[in-house]
Amino acid sequence: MVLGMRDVRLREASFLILSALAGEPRHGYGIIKDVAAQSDGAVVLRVGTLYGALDRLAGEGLIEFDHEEVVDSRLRRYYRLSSAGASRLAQEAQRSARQAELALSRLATGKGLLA
Amino acid sequence: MSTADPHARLEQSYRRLLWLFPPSYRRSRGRELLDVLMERADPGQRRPSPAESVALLRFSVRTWAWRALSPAPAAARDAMGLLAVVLPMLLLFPAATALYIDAQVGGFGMDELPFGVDIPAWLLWCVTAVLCLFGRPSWARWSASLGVAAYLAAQVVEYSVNNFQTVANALGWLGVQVIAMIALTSPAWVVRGRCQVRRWWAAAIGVTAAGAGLAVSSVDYLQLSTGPTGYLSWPWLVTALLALVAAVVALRSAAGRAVLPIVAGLAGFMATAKYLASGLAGDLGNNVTGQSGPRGHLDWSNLTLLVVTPLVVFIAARVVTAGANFRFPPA
Repeated sequence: MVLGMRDVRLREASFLILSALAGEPRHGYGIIKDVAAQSDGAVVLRVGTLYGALDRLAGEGLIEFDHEEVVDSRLRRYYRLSSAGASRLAQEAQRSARQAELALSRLATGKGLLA
Repeated sequence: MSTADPHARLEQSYRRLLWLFPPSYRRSRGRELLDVLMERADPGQRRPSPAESVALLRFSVRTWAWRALSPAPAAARDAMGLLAVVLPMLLLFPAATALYIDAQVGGFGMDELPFGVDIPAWLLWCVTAVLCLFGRPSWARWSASLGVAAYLAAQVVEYSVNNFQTVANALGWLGVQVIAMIALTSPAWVVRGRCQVRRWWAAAIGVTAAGAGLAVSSVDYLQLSTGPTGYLSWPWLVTALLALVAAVVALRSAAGRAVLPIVAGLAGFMATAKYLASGLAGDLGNNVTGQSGPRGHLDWSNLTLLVVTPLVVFIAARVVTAGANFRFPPA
């Protein structure tokens, strides 16, 4: 099977970061907190990992710079989802939903379970 | 700020870690990274956690690698434009050499060729191509200019010792190098795979290519019938057909359309210059078999080169196109 760029699945961290930016523009620490909340604390983004992912997503045109502000003498740079990022996230979410639905329906029949 | 303050000590440690990043990245993102790191730190934390240190280390290595392998978009785009000229140029030389051998040397093969300064000049063009690939367009222009100047100087020396035939035979290759160098110093010619050749240059290239085509494809030159050596000169025919197919297919892509006139122009100029200059030097008409008139000769090494070269030129054009489209998608 030959995969196109849009068919390559997002990594979990990238998916969660895009999802964090889907509601509103967020700064780095805000993304880290939102990702942790989304995953019930299962995914703890390191700052190095976060910025590596942000650079990659920006390079792919999925996110873009929104604005920056200084709060308590700390620089906060906000990022937002681009239109390409929104459609990519929607596509990925629909695929995950379809797969989850299929898995749940199969589990409901219970034929594959051990007695 | 006292270093006894755990907060300050942590900040110092993070600052030291940030020195792992490229200076330009540190200038643009250093403060943002530091502030997020500090905001994320636990109360009373005195030094970076090993996991955070490893993540920063990995990220810095990736940033350095990315910076080294991916120059600034403008420079890379420029380099792609240069490469679109340099690659066909590199491939034309062996093709033209093979054609020259085939028409002139006959059964004696490549060992009889007086390569002289041709190969060093070609190697300098290889260096130019590598510099383009690494996104160093200004260095590439210097390398190409140096190669052409050295080649020109060598020809002047040949001329000064009355070696007119060598100079005449080198005219085509010299002409091609000069044209390519002019193209290299005008990077705006090829931008984002779109051809921006000035109209009168395009017309000149077309006329040159058409003239060369007429000269080269004359029945006498092609030797489509059995020649004096008893062989059909079908390498020429195969090459022409393959070049035609490659040209038609290349027209389907934007960069192909940009590269094609340059390739056609250079090939045409080279073929014309070799044909005319060699004829003027009285070389082409008296080959080693002692029989007058140019003729084709079936030689497997030449044939391979002739068949493969147009395909490689086409593949190179497609690779450049793919690279340009991947990295610089049309707005």
